[in-house]
Amino acid sequence: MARRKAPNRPALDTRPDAPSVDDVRAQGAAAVATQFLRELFSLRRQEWGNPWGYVFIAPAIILYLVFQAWPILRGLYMAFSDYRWMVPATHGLAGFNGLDNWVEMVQDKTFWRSFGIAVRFSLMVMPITLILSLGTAVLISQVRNHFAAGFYRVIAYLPVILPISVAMLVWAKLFDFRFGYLNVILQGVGIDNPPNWLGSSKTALYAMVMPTVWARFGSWTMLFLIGIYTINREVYEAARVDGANGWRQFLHITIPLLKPVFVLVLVLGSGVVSATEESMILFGGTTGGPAEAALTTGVYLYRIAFIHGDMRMGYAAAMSLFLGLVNMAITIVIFKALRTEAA
Amino acid sequence: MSNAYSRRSFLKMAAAAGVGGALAACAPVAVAPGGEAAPGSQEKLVRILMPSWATAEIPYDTTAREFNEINPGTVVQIQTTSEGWETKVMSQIADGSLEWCGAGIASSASSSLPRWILTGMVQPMDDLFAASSVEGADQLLDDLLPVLRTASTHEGKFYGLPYSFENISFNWRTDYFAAVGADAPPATLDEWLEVARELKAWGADEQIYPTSFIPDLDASVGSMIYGSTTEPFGDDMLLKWESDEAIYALAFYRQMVLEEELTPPHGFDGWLDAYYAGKVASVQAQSSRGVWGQLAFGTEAVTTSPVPVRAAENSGTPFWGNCVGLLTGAPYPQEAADYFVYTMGPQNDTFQKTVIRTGKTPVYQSAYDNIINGDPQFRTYGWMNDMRDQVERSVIRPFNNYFAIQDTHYRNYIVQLVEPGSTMTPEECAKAILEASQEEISKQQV
Repeated sequence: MARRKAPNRPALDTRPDAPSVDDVRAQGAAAVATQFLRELFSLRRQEWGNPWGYVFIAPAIILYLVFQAWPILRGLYMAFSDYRWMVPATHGLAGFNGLDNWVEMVQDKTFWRSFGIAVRFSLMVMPITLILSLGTAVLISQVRNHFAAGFYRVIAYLPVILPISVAMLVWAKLFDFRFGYLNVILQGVGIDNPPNWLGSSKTALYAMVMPTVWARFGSWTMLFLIGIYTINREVYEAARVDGANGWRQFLHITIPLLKPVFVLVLVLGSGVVSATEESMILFGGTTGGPAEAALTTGVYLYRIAFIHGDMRMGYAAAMSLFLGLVNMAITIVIFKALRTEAA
Repeated sequence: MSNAYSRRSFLKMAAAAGVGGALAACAPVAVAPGGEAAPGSQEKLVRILMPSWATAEIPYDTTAREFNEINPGTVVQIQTTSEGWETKVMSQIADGSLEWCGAGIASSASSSLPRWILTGMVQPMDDLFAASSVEGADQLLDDLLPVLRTASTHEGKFYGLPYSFENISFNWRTDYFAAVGADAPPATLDEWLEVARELKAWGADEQIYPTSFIPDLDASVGSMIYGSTTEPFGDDMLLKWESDEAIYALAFYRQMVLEEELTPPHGFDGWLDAYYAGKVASVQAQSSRGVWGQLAFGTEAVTTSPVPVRAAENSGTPFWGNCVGLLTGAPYPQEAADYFVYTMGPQNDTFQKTVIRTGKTPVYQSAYDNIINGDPQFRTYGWMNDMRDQVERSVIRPFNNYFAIQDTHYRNYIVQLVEPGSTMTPEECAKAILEASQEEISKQQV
């Protein structure tokens, strides 16, 4: 085995005109400093790139700062202030009240009731939407005729392009206990006393689930379809050769390979805990449905911020921030549970 | 020298143009002192904000064009409101850059006009009306029904000019009532119950509801409380929920809705569809709903009357004026006030007639004398005289912004009172509404 030869150490210069140790040190320091600055500027150039780039992205950055960053920061501050729209004295720094909003929130029975309703609503909407959209996506992916597959994709996606206000108003008509198609059909099949879907406190929340699922499942179906289309068909062929039936292929190939899509749709879907429009449109305003059976936290905080009394936007912002934190927690749980950062 | 631009120079020019454009867009609008438009533009731009339902119902655009023609140099523009417009207006008022002059529609004797006044969003109009040279300005406030003038007045100043008013009334199908031998509306709660029972028996096969409410507190139990006492409000400015009158009203509502099933479920579920389908014989709601019925079934089939009451001495009925306001810091307040007078003043017969045709009730005494009682073509609107008389002696709701709170809690607990199988008593319901309202009001500062 060849041995590596140690480099020769330069011999000490002992000539009389040779530079002193200090001179060498000074020259060395200058060289090092020059080199350092050169490196630094070079590094800066690398880091910052072409300055013109910043000019071109400036409009987007400004829009983001004005319409995203500033409202978020302002909302954060408002969550710790007693901001009341009708009381100018509470605006700005004068309204800061520390954790008062949060203490009140902990003691606010209506808030917790509305949060419970929002959680129950989410726990119904998310699994149903997930199962329906995944099932629909798998079925569409099995259609070999391109035209037919495109037709089904359009049909599945149609509810998404309908504005939510229109969708909910249509569903409100469908749910009408006397003239709505749903009950007319139920009466047609022999159910004499069909439910008063939106009028009864026992059924109002369930009635709200149906249109919400209908409005959301199209976009989830598309996401699952994109995921399924990107799975290499050879994997399925290999599994088929090994004797795996359709169910096993679905269970051991489709589901695991769709993990990133699952993460995506679950994270997007976790926002349903903040559901507001559905209740407000179906039940007309901020009543929260019959006997407040569908009073989600979103509706409750909207009522506090924009309808009632002084319009306590500070307290509403605290509730809103709480919902945001819940969404973040759900997202973390989803990432941890599915153990993927790929999504 | 080459005429061709390099890519670099092109990018530089484009970026410079972009930055210049952005800076120009951010520059403040050139406004001369006193709110005058920039040199070169002599026009006074008077922007008025209106909700789309109001512009669809009332021809504010047309009157703006007329006003502009006879007032060279002034351009009134009607713009429809969008979500969050009040916040934008308040921000502009705060930084002194308000671009609008007026806004509508706020309800007097309700939450919205008090909110506008308490936040300083609107300014008094008395002095501007006094200074106006537009025809009708000198008689406007005096011709206004006194109760409506009072409802729009705060600390001696007049803030909201109503173009119409609405009150809770009894809108009924004359043909259905005639079928059970009733040629007049019920005057008392007992008469109402009696005729409703007859209508139920008569319309059972067709599943016709004898009567219906709408979900608001005003239109249902609130109206019954008004009709039972001369003092509906307590010292806390809330309805006297624990009074005998309120308990009686809740019990009566429960009897009609739950015990005798004389109304749709809860008293109001699906009432509008049922009304338009001809499946409702009467609706206690604002007076314009009667005209909706007339438009659907003919003027002979539907009419509007004062609500049935419990006591001869009472507070009239809940009502509200549909008002426009002059924004604080408006660039051209006099011109805006002039436009309001020109359009909505008592001298504008065309406007008053349009208002009447929409089913909204006029606000000037002269409109009753000259149009409703003076023009044969408007004979079918004679019922509006009764509404005027009713409102003239009605108690004005206390000036605060608590009504929405009370209404919200009422809507919650009234459903619990009349839900099938409910064991809640009227007393428990009243207590729950009162306590929930008081608890929330205790958190308000205004």
